Amino acid sequence: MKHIKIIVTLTVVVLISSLAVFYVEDITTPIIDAYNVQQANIAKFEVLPELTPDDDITPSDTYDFTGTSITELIIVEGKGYIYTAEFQGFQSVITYIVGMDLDGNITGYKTLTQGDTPGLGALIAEDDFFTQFIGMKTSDAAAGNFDGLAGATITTGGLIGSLDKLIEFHNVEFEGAVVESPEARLERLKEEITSVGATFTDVSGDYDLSDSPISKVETADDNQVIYTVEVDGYNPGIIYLVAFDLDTNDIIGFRVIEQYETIGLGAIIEDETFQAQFDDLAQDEIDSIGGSTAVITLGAIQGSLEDVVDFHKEQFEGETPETDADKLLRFKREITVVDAIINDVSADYDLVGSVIDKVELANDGTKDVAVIYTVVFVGYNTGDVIEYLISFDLETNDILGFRVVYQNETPGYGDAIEDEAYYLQFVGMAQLDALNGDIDDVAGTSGAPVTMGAFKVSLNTVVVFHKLEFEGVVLESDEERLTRLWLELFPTASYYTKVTRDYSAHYDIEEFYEVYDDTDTYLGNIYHVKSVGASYDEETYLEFFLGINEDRTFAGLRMWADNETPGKATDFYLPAYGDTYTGDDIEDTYTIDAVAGATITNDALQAAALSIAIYHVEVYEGAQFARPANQDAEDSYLLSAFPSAVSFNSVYLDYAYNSHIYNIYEALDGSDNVIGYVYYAHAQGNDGTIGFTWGVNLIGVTQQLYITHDAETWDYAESYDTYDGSQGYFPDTPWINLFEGVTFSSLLTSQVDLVAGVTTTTSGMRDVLEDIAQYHSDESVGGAG
Amino acid sequence: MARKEKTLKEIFTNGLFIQNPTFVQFLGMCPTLAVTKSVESAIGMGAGVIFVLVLSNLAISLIRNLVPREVRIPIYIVIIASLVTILEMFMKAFVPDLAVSLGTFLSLIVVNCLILGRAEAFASKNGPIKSAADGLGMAIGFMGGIVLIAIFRELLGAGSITIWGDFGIDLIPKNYQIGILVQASGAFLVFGVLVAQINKIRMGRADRNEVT
Repeated sequence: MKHIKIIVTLTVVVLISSLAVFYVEDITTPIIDAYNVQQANIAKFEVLPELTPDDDITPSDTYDFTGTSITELIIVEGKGYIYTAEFQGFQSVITYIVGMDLDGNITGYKTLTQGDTPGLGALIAEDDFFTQFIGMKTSDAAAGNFDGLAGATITTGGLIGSLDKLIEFHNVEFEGAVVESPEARLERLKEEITSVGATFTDVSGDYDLSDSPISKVETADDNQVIYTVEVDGYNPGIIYLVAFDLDTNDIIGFRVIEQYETIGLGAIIEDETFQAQFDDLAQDEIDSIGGSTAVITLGAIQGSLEDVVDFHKEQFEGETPETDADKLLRFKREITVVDAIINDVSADYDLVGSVIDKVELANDGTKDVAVIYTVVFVGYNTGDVIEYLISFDLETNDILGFRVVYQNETPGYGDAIEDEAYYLQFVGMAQLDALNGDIDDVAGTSGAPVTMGAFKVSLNTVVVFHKLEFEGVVLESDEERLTRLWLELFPTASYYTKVTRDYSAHYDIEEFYEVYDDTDTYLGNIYHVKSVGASYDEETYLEFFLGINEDRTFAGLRMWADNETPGKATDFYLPAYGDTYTGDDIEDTYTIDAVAGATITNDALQAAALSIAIYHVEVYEGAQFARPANQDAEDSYLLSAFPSAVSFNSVYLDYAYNSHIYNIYEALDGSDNVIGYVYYAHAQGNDGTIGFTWGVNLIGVTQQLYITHDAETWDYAESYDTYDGSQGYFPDTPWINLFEGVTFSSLLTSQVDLVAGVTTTTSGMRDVLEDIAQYHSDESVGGAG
Repeated sequence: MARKEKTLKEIFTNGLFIQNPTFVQFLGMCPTLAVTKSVESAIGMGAGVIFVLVLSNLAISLIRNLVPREVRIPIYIVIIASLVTILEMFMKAFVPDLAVSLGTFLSLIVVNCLILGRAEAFASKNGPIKSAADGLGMAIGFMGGIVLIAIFRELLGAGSITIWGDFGIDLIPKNYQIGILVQASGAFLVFGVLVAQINKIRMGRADRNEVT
C-alpha cells in the first residue's frame, strides 16, 4: 500500500511538473527562436538597421561573384542589400559585412573576423572604424575616401581594394552601371595621356621589340608615341603605358593597365598622384620619380623606363644607340685616360678559376698607364652574374675607377652597385681600402649585404692578383711569413727545437725555440712573446718574436700581430725597427728609438724585451743577470718606510734582479735582529718616474709606503676636470694608505681600486707594488713563501 | 515547553538579516561568487531565486502532507527543477541578455542549497502562507546579499554601475579602479570583508543584549 502511494505521488508530481513545463515551453519557444535568429544575424541587423526579424534574409544564389571578394549577398526586399566579403589583410583573411540602402548609401559596416596586428591592422574591428561608414556614399567607400588605419597601409589597402570590387559589382548589378570592358579602358587610358581625339596607329611591326620590355609601339596623331611596357615588379605582370611627345621627346603620360603589387605599397603606381608625376617629365628625370616605399616596384618601373627611353632615343630622335662594345670602351676610357688604347694581355696570365675574366692595359699613346680588370662574380641573384671593370694606376697602384658592365640584381637593392653614387668613390681609392673591403654603402647597397659581400671578396682577389703580378708583392701565408721572419732573425738557421718546459714563471712567453744551423750548432733562442700593449683602458696586446743570440745579444725583434690603435703599431713591423735591437747586449742598458708617435708602444716592447732577457739569463741559462749597480736609498727614506727599525742593511744581491727594484734592505732593530725588509723601487707615473720605499715585516704585513720622488700633477688633472679631486693629490693622497698595514698576499688576491681620472699614476704604482709583492714571495725574501 | 509560534512578520524578516542566507547561513555560495560581477546580474539572479523559492516553498508546503517521507527529496527536486526550467525559458524569452549574462548559473539554481534547504527545513513543516513568507524573506535576503557584493565589485572594480543600460552611474575614473575586484578573486575579497563587517555588527548587537 505504501509503495503504491509512493509511486502514485511521484507519478502525479512528475506529470504535473511536466505539463507545466510543456505549457511554458509552448509559449516561449517561438520567442526564443526569433531571438536566436536575431542573435545569429546580429551583424546583419547592425549594418542594415531597417532589417527586422520578419524579413527574408536567405542569401541570394543568382549572382556570380567571380572577380570580387564577395562571399554572400542578401537582398532585403524594399530595404537594401547586405554583402559579406573577405580580403587578405596583413596577416590574416579579414571578413566583413556591409549594408547598403536602395539609394547607394552604406548603412553600416562591421568587421566580422580578423587576425591582424593588434594596435595596427586589428583596429579594423573597432567600433570607431565602423561608424564612419554609416551614411557614406558607396562611391566614396570604393575610392577609399574614409579614414584608414594609421600604420596599417596593407590592411587598409586590402579593404579599399575589396570594397572597390564589391561596389563595382553592386553598381553593375543593381544601379544599372555598365562595366567598362578592358578594351574600352585601354582606349580611355590611351586617350587620357595623349591629345584629345587622337588617332592611334599600331606601328609595332616596324621595330624589333625582342629583348625589350616594350610589347607595343603606337603613334597618336603622328606627334606622340605610346609604348606598352611589360615588366615584373615585386610580383610579376606589371603592364603600363607611357607616352612621349615627338616634338619635345619628353614623357607626357603614364598609366598602369595591370599590376598585382602589394596593396598600399607597390600598388600605388596605379594611383593618380603617382601617375601625375609623368604628365610632363623630361627623359633624364626618371630617377626622380618617387612617392613609394616599394623600392623593388619603383626600381622595376624606372629600369624599364630607361630601356624605353633608350629605345625612343634610337628610333625617334635618330640617336644611334651605343653598342655594347662602344659602351665597354667608353667605360674603360672613363676609368683610365681619355682615348686610351686598350690592349688585352689576358693571355699572359693564368686566369683559370679566377673571378678575373680579362686583364687589359690602357696605353695613353706613349706608355701603359693603367691596368683594367674585367671581373665576373655571382651576387644575390645566383642565376646570373655581375660583371664589372676596375682599373689600377700602374704608378701608384691605387684604384682609378670602377664601372658595372652588367648586373641583374634586385632593383632598389643590389642593383645600386651600378649607381654613379656608388662607383664615384672608387676614383683614387687606396689599394688597401679595396683590399680590406673598406667601401662605403649608398642607398640600396646597404640593404644588399649578399651582393656587396660577394663584390668585396672579388675585389680582394683582384687586389691580391694585382699586387702579385704588377707589384711583385706576394701576400704570403702565415706559415710563409713565420718562416721568413725567423730567417730574418737567424739567417743561418736550419732547424728549431721547441723548448718544452713550464713557462708559467713568465706570463708573456707563449713558447720558445732553440735555433740550430745545419751543423747542429746552437745559435740562440727565438721567444714567441705576447705582452701587454700601450693602452691602459682596455687590454691590448703586442705579439712578436724576439731572437736572443747564444752570446747574450739580441738577434732582433719581429712583430707578428697587435690590436693597438690602428696605425700606431704599423711601423714596428718594419725590419728597420726590429733590427735596432740586433747586436745589443741583452744585459746592458739599451735604448731603442721610438717610432714616431708611438712611444708608449715602444716602451711596452722594450720592457717586454728586457723581461725576456732576464728570463733568458736567469731561468733558461740559470745564470745571474748582469744587473745595474744597486742604488742606495737615503736613511730617511728607509726610516719613513719602516719607522720601528734602527738600522738597514742592503741584501739585494742575494736575490734576483727585478727591473723595478733599486735595492732591498733588511730592517734591523737595536739588537741587530732582522724585523723586516724595505724595498726601494720605482714605478712609471704619468709625469715621470715615481721612487718609493716600502716596508714589510717578517709575516708579510706592509709598513709605510713612502714616496721619495715624483712629478705627478693630479692638480692639473683636476683643473682639466678629468679628475674629481676626491682623493687629494699625489703623494699625499689617502690612496697610498691602501697599501699600508696590509699583507702582500691580500694585495695579490684582491686588487686595490684605481683612482678615476688619474689611472696612469695609480695603475703604474699598483702594477709595481703588486710585482714587488709577487717578487717577495717568489724570491722568498727573508724566507717568505 | 512549546516554542512560541513565530508571526508572519518574524518569519519574513528572519531571512532578511538574522538568518541572512548569504552572510549568515552561507547558502548558495556558488552564484554568490559567480554572478556578482555586475549589479544587473545579481538583481537578475536574485529575482530568479525569489521566483523559484517562493513558488517551490508554496508548492511543497501545499503537498507536504501528501508526500511520503521516503521520496520527499526526489519530489522536491522535480518541483524545483520544473520551476527553474520554467524560469529559464521565461528569461530566455523575455530578458535574453540577462539570461546570457547569468549563463549556466541560471540552470544551477536547481541545486542551490538555499532552495532545497528551505524546502526541507521550513516548507515541509509549515503552511503555505508561512512558507511563501519564508521563501520571500529568504530570497530577498539572498538577493540583498549578492546585490550588496555586486555593488562593491562593480563600483570599485569597473568604476560604474549600469543596469539594463538605462540606469547608470559613473563614478571612478579608470586610473583609480581596482581591477582585481571584477575578477574571480575579487569576489572572495569583497565577500570576506562584508562577512567580517556584518559579523561585527551582529556580535556587537549580541554584546549589547548581554549587557542590558
